[in-house]
Amino acid sequence: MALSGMRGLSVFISDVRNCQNKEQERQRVDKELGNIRTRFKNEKGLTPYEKKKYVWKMLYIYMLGYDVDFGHMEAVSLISAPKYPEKQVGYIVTSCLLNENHDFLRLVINTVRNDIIGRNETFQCLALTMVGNIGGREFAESLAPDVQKLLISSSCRPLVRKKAALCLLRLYRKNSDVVNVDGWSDRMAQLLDERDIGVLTSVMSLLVALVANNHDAYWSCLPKCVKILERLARSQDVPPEYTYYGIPSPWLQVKTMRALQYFPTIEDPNTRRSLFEVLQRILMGTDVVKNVNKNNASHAVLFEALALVMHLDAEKEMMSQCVALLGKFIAVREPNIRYLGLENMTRMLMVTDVQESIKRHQAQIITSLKDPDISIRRRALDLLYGMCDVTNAKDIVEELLQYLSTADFVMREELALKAAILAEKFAPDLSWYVDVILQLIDKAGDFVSDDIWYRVVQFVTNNEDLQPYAAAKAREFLDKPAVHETMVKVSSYLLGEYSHLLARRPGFSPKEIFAMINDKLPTVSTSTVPLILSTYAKILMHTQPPDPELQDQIWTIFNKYESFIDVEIQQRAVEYFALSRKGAALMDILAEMPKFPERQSALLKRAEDTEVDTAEQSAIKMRTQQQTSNALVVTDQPPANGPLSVGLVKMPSMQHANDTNLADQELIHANGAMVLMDPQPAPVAAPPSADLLGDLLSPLAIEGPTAASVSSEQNLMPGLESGPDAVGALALTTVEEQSNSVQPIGNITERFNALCLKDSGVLYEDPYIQIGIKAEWHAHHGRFVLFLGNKNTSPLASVQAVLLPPSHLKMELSLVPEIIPPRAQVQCPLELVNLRASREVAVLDLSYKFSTAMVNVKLRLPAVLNKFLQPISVTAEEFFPQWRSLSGPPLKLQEVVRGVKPMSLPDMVSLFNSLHLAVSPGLDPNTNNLVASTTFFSETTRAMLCLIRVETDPSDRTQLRMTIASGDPTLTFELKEFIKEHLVSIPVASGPPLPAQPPSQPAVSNASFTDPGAILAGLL
Amino acid sequence: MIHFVLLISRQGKVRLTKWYSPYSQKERTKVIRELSGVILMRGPKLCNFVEWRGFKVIYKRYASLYFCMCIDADDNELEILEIIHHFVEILDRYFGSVCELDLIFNFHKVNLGNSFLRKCIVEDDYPGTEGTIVEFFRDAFKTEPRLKFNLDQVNI
Repeated sequence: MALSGMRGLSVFISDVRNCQNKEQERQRVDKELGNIRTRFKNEKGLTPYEKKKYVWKMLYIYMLGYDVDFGHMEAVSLISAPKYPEKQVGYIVTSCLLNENHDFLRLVINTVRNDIIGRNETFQCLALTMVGNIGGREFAESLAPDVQKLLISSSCRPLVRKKAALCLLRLYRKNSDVVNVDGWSDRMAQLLDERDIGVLTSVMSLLVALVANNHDAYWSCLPKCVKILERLARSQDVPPEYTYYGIPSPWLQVKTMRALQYFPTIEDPNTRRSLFEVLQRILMGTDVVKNVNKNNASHAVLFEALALVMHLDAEKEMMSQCVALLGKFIAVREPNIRYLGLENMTRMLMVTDVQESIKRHQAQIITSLKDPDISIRRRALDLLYGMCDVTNAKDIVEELLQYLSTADFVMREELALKAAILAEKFAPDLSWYVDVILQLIDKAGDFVSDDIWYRVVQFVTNNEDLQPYAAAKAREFLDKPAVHETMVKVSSYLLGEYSHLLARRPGFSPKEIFAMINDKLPTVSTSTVPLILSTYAKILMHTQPPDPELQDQIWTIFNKYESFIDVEIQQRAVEYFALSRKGAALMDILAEMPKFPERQSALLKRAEDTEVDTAEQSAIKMRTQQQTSNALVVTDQPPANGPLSVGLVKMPSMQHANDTNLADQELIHANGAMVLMDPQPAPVAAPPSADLLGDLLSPLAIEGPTAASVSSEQNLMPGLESGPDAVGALALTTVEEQSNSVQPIGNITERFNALCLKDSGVLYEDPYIQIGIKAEWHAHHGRFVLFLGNKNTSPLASVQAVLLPPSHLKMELSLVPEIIPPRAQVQCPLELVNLRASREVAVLDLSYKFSTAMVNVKLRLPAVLNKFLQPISVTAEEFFPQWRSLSGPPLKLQEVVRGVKPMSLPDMVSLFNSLHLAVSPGLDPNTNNLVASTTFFSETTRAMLCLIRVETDPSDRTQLRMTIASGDPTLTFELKEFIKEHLVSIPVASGPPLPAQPPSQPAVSNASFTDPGAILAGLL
Repeated sequence: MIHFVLLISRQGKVRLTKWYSPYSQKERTKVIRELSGVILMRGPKLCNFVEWRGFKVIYKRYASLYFCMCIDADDNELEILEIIHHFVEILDRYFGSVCELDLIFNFHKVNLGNSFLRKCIVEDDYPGTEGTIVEFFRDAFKTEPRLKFNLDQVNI
């Protein structure tokens, strides 16, 4: 052969083939690459032939999957060669080696253009082919007019015009502006008159792309397309070389029908009639023949015709003909046809009025669900899903359930999800729905996502009639020998909430339920334990009168988990233990869960979001559009409000986002009584199901003990306490690693504010680190201990803590270790001395590295003014001489403060107490006034007495007059401002009602950046 | 639209690739590995379509070679299947009973064919290429006297 000259290439290929293993192959390839590289370096010595040969070798190596990072220039430069052989290799290798985004392509635009506008036909073909393969936007801009000219030129041979049409198609795909719609639509219509079928096919490809984008402009092409179809269908005027196995150009037929599907309808009755005649002929005249290729080609045309018929929404008669055909197809032996039959039947569902005729084939479709071919099984599943409605839901879902036990693993999750959705949407009655889902969990627990069982809980909670039934079923399934963990979750939840409804039935006494669940406790993972603990608490609550024996058993378990390593479990154990000792009060705290606000099924939403192929998506979309007629989907129920029932039950594994809006909404419902959760989204692990968690979490967002239990809780856990807000936030967020930035857990500002009033708690927390703080104060000396806790199983590296002390504090931080080992806590003492009074705040600049993420936070340290105050009670005899001796500014300052948070006098007293200001009652004869005193310590002032008098106005609680006196002007001023700050906006009150967070507060999660105080402090 | 064409041997070796959508070399390797895993595992009596990442891969096995084309999910599957067959027919005519070794050792010729095949068959008319292919190879290899394409025998 002529290529015998390319021996080097053949030798290289057989060398590579003879390599015994991948390593040898790599060595051989590397050697060759080295060789080519050296050859290219002294280009002078290369003959055109050699250059060609090496470029081919490069391409071969590249095709084998190796990186070829040089020689592109040589390949590209061959394009400019004057002779055909080199030019051709240049074009071909370039179009294989480079893709459209490659910079080198820019270098050849001019050469390519010269070839296109040149006279040499072969060069034109080469250039058009390459641009048609890899042309990008830049090619589109500079070459489109020339290519258009070639396409409509009458002097060009069909060979060139075909390539021009396809080249233009590529350019149009890259940049649709290159075709000027106004002028071009007439041209297209003219081009469709083309007699040469080769050119026509290429033009039709172009037309499909054009009408897909903008069918309006190309109306004039519509009748021409119908004419072409007629011409082909009647086999008129089709040269024999354009028939394939006896079928007149199936490719052109398919393309033409494709183009017609982009026009919304055909108005002209004549055109419509002719088209339907053709379609009818295709539908009726396609027979199954022995020759596979002929069969395929004719069915390619047939299926395209079916699609067009569906699109045109033809007469009923024709439609039922189509369904009959498809019904035939799904039963044939040939798997391709079976596959396409099922696929097109799914598309057919979108046509109205054919569902009934499709249902007739249900049995056959169910058989296909057991086909050996997964592609076909998928289609069958999708079709069953699409055709399901109230009438056949029971059959189909039960069929799916049955299939679930034998289905292959790759399909199980999808299968489970679809069965769950159908059961939810079309359940004839609710108990059946519960049955289905429990069976689903029983049969394929691993593949049932949390969303599915959350949804059951939601329905059961919202339907009182269902509750006893669900509890009974839950018990039944839990009683089985090997129970999946998801089943443990859902059963123990349901039993905790509703088993008391059945307490009289045999086997449902609290003791028995407890024993049954407790059997499973040792086998479950940490994500289930919290849920079981909640169930125990509920069981305890429902056991009235209390059963001491059961109580002891449960308390033993709570005690066991009080020191558990998982924070969530530990916290629950501690809380439930404390709460369950409250006796009757427990009833109020652990009330039944309120109803969930009704919303769109998150499952459905998830199914829509899941990346599935388009056919499937369309089926799902169809579903959502379809009217549903069942009791399950309740619309627009008012969200749970009214008397706020507080549930302490928290859902486990809340890895999903709270619906922020919903949280807000719930906060409003809380009527400002208490806010225990930041409206901060928890780390988002599964965005598609956010909605569902919104469903489930929203009522939980308002969870919270009453004020009394808050304080008891605080007393119980001095180590953990950091204000109720922090506790709430802790409980509702999870330790989830985040992909991009590290979000703090809880609100940093609130944590800081809480720590201003007490001496220990959590200063900062994120998924990796928790920083606790403990403080001691002696006069003007202070001592912090920072507890840096690594929450993960891998070490935190590059830990750095830099103090940015304000001018009035002298601070010294002991060395912070650079690495915090996994799950370890490091203590760093910090000594400080107060020099004078100031409201400035010290800032700790902390940074650390977790795997690749660098985290940096600036934290304000709660070394604030009141920490250096010591309350002191004074008698009238001591007070008044002092008060009088400090007369007038700057030692005594008076100010009328407006915009004060309205509060009663006792509230103000407790606020003052928390600020270390001792209120002396009875000193002021007016009962609306307060007199307080305190001692301030600093290095300059030493101990200095400060006196405060507040005169309130009983008719207007938003204003008051404040007088402050001390022996130091700075101190007087600073103290006045300090108290004012606390009166005007009360960050956190100690005991009684917590102020509501403004519900619309934006992105609290970013508190470290949005908090102006922190920024300011950072600047200092 | 066709996104890529793959020729894979039964052992999973790549014999020919052609990419019409931009894929990086890394992505290409991944795609090939993933797809050959799926396709080579399929039994002989199954359909020729595989659903993959929202696309469809149409494949057909000829002797020890799998010809695969990746298309959009709503493209006409059978049309593509016959394009594959036609490609094989052309190769067959050119090499005279084509076998895998022909394709390996003449990968550059096939590549020629392939790059324009898309033009001429995949997107273009198919039978019209007969004349072109001869022309093309004649130009390419200057083999007029020895390469005999007997168009009369082509029964199309």
